[in-house]
Amino acid sequence: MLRLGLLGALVLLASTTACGEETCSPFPSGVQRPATVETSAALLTDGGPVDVLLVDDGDLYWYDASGAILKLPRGGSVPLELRPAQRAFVGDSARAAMDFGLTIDGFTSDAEHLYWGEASVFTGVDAGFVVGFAPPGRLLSIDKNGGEQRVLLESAERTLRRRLRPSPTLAPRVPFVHHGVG
Amino acid sequence: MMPEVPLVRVSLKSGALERLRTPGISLPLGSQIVGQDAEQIYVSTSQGLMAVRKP
Repeated sequence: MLRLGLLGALVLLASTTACGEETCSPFPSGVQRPATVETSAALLTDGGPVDVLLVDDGDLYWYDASGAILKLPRGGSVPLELRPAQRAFVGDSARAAMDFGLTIDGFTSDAEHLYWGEASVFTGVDAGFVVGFAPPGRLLSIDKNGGEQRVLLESAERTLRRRLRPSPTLAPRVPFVHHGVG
Repeated sequence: MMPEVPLVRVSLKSGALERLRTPGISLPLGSQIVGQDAEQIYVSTSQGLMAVRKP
């Protein structure tokens, strides 16, 4: 008991002597209170949340809920639309017995191109409740400066999911693709 | 008043904690850090994509 008491006193002493400024902990355990630092912020887009962002040599790339691919060049103030909004789902509309929507996954880049996987996502009765991904799955690419998108791969049975990473050994060829069963 | 998400950084060298305050602009609940570079932290908010300068 005496040992524990001495140890506690040392910890308390250490925590009080290490602080002394505004950041000093109000707790005996030594948890810090953050110091406040002022900085500036700017809203770059007003199109709602961005799930996945590529920060690439100062340029920003992302996609929105409509499937549009967007770019904000370094120092720019107006996003460029590399690909416009897409139709609501991938594949044959006759398959859309439930509430299907387009989804993008595995957004990545190499020196010249953007790559992403596309599939359909279907939802349950409750709006927004994701049940699963449905094929066909596609791997697409587009030049970072815009132009026509290219379908690099299409699978009737599988979808392309996360883990889409450029391969150092294959660059600038097609990046590594992880196949997930749809 | 809408609840805000505090943006906090820790120095891996000193262990010091700092809360980054952006006067006039708040990060609403649900905001997430989605990227960074040498000068900025990019935060996704319900309003859109926000760039916070690294002080």
